[in-house]
Amino acid sequence: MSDSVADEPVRLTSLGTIAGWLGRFEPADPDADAVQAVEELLPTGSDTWPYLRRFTALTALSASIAAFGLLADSGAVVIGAMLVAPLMTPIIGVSAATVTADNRRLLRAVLIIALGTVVAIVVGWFVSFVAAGRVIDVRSLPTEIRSRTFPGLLDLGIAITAGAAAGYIQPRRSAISALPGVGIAVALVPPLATVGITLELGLGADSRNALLLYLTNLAAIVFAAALVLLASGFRPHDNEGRRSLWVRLAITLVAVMLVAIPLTLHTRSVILDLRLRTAVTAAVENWDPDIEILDQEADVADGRAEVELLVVGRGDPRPVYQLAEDIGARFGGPVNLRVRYQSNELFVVSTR
Amino acid sequence: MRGVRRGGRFLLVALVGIAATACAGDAEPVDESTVTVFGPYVGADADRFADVIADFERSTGIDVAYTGSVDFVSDLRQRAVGNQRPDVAMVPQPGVVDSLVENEVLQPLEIDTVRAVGEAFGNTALETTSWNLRFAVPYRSNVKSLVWYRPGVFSDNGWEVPQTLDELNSLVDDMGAGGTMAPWCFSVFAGSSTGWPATDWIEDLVLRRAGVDVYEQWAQGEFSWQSPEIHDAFQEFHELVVDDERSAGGLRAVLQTEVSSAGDPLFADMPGCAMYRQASFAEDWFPDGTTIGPDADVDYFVLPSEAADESGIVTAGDAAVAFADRPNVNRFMAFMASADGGRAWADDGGFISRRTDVDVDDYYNDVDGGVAALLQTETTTRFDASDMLPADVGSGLLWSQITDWLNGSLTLDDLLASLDEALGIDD
Repeated sequence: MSDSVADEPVRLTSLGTIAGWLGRFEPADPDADAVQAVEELLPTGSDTWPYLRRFTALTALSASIAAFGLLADSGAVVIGAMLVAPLMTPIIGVSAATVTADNRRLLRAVLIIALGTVVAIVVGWFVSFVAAGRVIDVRSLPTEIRSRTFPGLLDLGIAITAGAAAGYIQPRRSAISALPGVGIAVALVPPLATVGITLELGLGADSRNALLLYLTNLAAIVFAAALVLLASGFRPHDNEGRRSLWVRLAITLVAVMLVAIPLTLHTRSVILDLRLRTAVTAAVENWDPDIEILDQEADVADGRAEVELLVVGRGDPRPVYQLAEDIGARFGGPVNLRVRYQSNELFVVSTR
Repeated sequence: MRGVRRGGRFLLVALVGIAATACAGDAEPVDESTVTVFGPYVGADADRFADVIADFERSTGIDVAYTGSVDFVSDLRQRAVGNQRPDVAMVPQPGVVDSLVENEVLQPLEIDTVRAVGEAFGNTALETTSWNLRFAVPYRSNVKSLVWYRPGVFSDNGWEVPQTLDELNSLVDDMGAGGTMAPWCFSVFAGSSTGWPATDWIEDLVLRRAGVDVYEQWAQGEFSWQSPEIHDAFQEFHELVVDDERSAGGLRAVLQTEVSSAGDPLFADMPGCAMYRQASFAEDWFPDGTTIGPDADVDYFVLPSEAADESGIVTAGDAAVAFADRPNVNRFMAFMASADGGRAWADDGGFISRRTDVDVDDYYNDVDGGVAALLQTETTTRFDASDMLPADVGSGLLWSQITDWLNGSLTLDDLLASLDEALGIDD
C-alpha cells in the first residue's frame, strides 16, 4: 500500500460499516435477575423429572383441548389450549442456549421440544380417532383446522415478531405477564394437534402443511428470540463459544430460510387465487350485471384457473364462452370454467 | 332442450386457453395478430388441442387463442350471425358447415390446402366423408358404434359378446331389468345439446335394419321420418335401451345424468350396468388408470348387425373452417390439413384420423390404433346422419324433440311428423 493511499481516510464498504457498527454495539451484561430468569427456563438436577412429568401432562392436556376445539371449530377453546401449552419455555431455552453457547442446555431443550411435539401429535391423533368420525366431514374441514393447513409468509412474520417479543420478555420479570400473549400469537400446540387429526383422517397433504406451520413457528421463534437475547447482552461465557456464536445464529437463520421456501410458494398461490377471484367477480359483472353469484370456487393449479360458479339470473344467460374469455384475459392465463345457472323465478300462489 | 331448461337449472361448461406467446426460435413471424379458434373441445381434449396449437406456434411464430364450449353449436350459431366470428371454428357437424356456407360467412380454402386434403385422405375416404371440402378441412374422426363392456363381468355371468342384433336383444333380456345391474348405461343430458346420444343409437339401428341406401337418403333429408323403417328404429331403441328401466338409474338418470358421466356405473365395484354404447371418444370419460383390452378393465365390440357376417359403423368427426381470410389464418388451415396438425394430439392419445398418410401403428395406443384400423378396413361406414342434416334440424330440433319424446311430453308420431315437416318431406 503506497503512502498516498495510506494517508487517505479509510473508506468502508456498506457491509464493513454495518460490521463496524455491530462491533461498537456492545450491550451491557444482563443483570443477575435476568440471567436467573433465563436459566430457570430449563430444569436441572433433581428438578428434571418433576418438570418433565408436568411438561408432558400440560402438553397432553393442551393438545387435547386444542384437538377438541379444532374439531368443534371453536376459536375460543383453541386459544385456551394455547394458554395451557408449556412448549414456549423450552423453545426460548433453545434460543438462550444458542446465544450462550451452552451445548448441554441446548441438547436438553431440543429433547424436551421433541417430547412435546410427539405427545401433542399423538394426543391429536387419538382425539380424532375417538371423536372425529362422528363430528366432521373430511370434505369440509372446520375453519379452525383448515386455517392451519396452508401457512404463508404472514405466519412467518407473526412467528418472527412473537419470537422477538418472547426473547424480550423472558429476561424481564416485570414484563412476564405479557408472555401468554406471545403464546397466543404463535400457537404451537394447535398446529401439532392439527397434524395428529389430519393424519388420523388420512389427509397427508394437510398434515404436512400443519407440520410446516409448526416448524415455521419453531424456527422463527428460536431465531428471533436469540437475536433479541443477544441484543439484551446475553453472550457465550468463553472465547470458543463466542467464536461459534455466528455459526449457531447462521444455522437458525438457515432453518428459517428453509421453511420460508414453501411458505413463499403458498403465499404466491394465495395471491394468484386472490387475483383470480377478483378477475372472476369483475368478469361476471361485465358479463351480465343482473347476475348474482351464489357460490364461487376459484383456484389456480399449474398456472391454470379452475373456476366453478353457481349463479342466479333471469331468463337465458348470455353465452358462457364470453365469460370464460373475459376471465382469461383479466387473469392472464388458461381457464377451465363450469357455470351452473339458476333461473330466478318467483311464483306466488294463493288459495282460499 | 326447452323441456330441460324449464327445470330452472342447467350446466354450461367452457374452457378458454390463452395461448402463451410463442418464441419461435429462428422462425419468422408471418403476422402479428392472433388467430382465434373456437371449438367443442373442453377439459382434457382442450389440453390436447392446445398441444397442437403449441406445435403450430413454434413452427410459425403465430399466436393462437383457443376457446372451447360444450354449447359450441348454439354459441357458434350466435357468433356467426352476430359480429363475433372467430377466425377458425372446429365444427363436428357437416350440416352446420353447410348452413354456414349457405349464409356466406365462411372463407373458401386456399387451393393448396384443398389439394393437401385430397392427397392425405384418398378417394375412398372422401367418398364417405360428408364435408364440403371447398370450405372444411376434415380433422379428427371417431367411431360411434362401439359397445364398451367389462370382460370380467361378462365371464363371471356367463355372457358372451353378441354377434347379431337378435343375440343382443336376447342378451339384454337375460340381463333382466330392475336389478342392481341394468343392461345399459345411457344418458342424454348435455346442456343445449341434450339428446344427441339418443340420435346415435337410432342411426346405428337404421343403418343395420334398413340398410345403407335408406340411411344415406335419410341422412340427406330425403327419406320420410314417418316411414316404417325410421319409426321401427325409434321403437326398437326405446324397447332395447329405455323401457323397463333397462338403463342404469331408469328414465330419471337418462334425462338428468351428464353424458360424460353416463358410463360411470359400468366402472363401479358393483357395476350398475353391463354395457355402455358410446363413441370411441368415451375413453376420455373413463376413470383415470382404466385399462382397455380383452383381458383389461374394459373392452369394446362393434354393435352387431342383423347377420354375423354383416357389419357397419357410424362415424363422426370434426373439421376446421375459416371465417377470416388473413395470411396467418390460411397458414393455420394449411397446418390443420397437414399430418403435423394432428400429431401432438395423436401422441397424447384420443385422436384418430382417416388420413392415409398416418400408419395405424403410429397412434398413441392399441385402442386408438384399433379404432383407426376399423375406419380403414370397415367397408360400411357412414357419417352420423343427424350431424349431416341441416343444423336447425339435426343439431337443434331433433335433439330437443327426442328429449321431449323420452321424457314423455311428445309422442313418437308427433316427433316424426314434425321432423318431416321441418325438412319439407311429404309422408
